[in-house]
Amino acid sequence: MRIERPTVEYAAEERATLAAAGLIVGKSIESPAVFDMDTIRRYYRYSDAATDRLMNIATGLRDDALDRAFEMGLGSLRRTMLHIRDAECGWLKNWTEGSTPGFETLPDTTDLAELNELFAVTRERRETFFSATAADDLQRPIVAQPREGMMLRFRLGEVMLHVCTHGTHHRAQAVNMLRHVGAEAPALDYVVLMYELGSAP
Amino acid sequence: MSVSLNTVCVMLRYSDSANQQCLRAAALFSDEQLDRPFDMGRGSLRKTLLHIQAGENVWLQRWQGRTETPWPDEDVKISIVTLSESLDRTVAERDSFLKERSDADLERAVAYRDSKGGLFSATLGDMMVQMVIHSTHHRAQAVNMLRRLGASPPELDYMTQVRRPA
Repeated sequence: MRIERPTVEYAAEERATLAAAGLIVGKSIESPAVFDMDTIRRYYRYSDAATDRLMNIATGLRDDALDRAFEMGLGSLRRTMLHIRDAECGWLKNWTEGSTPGFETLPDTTDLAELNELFAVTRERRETFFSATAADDLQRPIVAQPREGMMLRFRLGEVMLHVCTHGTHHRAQAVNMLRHVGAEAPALDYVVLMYELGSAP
Repeated sequence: MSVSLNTVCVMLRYSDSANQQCLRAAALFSDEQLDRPFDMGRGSLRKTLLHIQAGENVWLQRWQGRTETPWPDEDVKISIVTLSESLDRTVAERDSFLKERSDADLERAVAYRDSKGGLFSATLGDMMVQMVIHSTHHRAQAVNMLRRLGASPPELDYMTQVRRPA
């Protein structure tokens, strides 16, 4: 059993309002420490397909659309897609080479054709890593240094899931940005994509 | 590649906690703020949160073989407290359902009619993952609305829930 730590600090008055409404801050959650590679691989298969769907549309856009400023997430469509790849690449490097302070990030001016190639390279390396990863490995501790002097510890399985949920979150922002620049806003429903990939009955 | 119950439960618990964080942040806003139009997702914070709750309930009904589960009206002015209570009931019903399931059950195909009227089938395991991803997607919109309404938006990274000092 671990205790969830609220990620927002509420003022005393706000806490009282939330408590009166039954929305108690700091509820306990129980987290079973069990993961499996099949489910994780399936989530990555979806995640890659959803990213491809966005990249296929984004690659056809002009630079002014890719760099248009939005009050959301990373601030532009290009930076959002770069951020998804940076996270995938940075965490894979952590799993395979160990922890280093911070994450390497691609330049904000990176061309999307180049980004497509970099996504492919990361996937190939990830597949090699996954092929050598067994269920027991998912409990292996991972240490990360988000910044100098700050060390955090996770289980490998937790971080693998995190990369997928992180991508899902930022793809939602990218879909909205595509719609605002007048491009097709693709549907990214999991059951639909898996069916189209031939991975569903 | 199939979906396992243990890993799905990890994902569902993360999603539950993230939903609650969004609801807590939203509970501090007035009706005017909850209904302020945004050119994003369902169009307002209240509608976005209601859509998440509706999605979780509709998918849960579909898991249980209720093929013809219609999507509820999302124009109702539901309070955040009532929404939170509805979500709690859905979670309780879901957990009761999960207690009786095994990994083998998750490979079973289940038919459902989607919100546009099409009849489809998917494995129970995939329908469970769908629920989590649907909520994660719409929470990204909710967090943006919370921030633009002036809230300290909750940090929803899965990592923030599982990290420990090294």
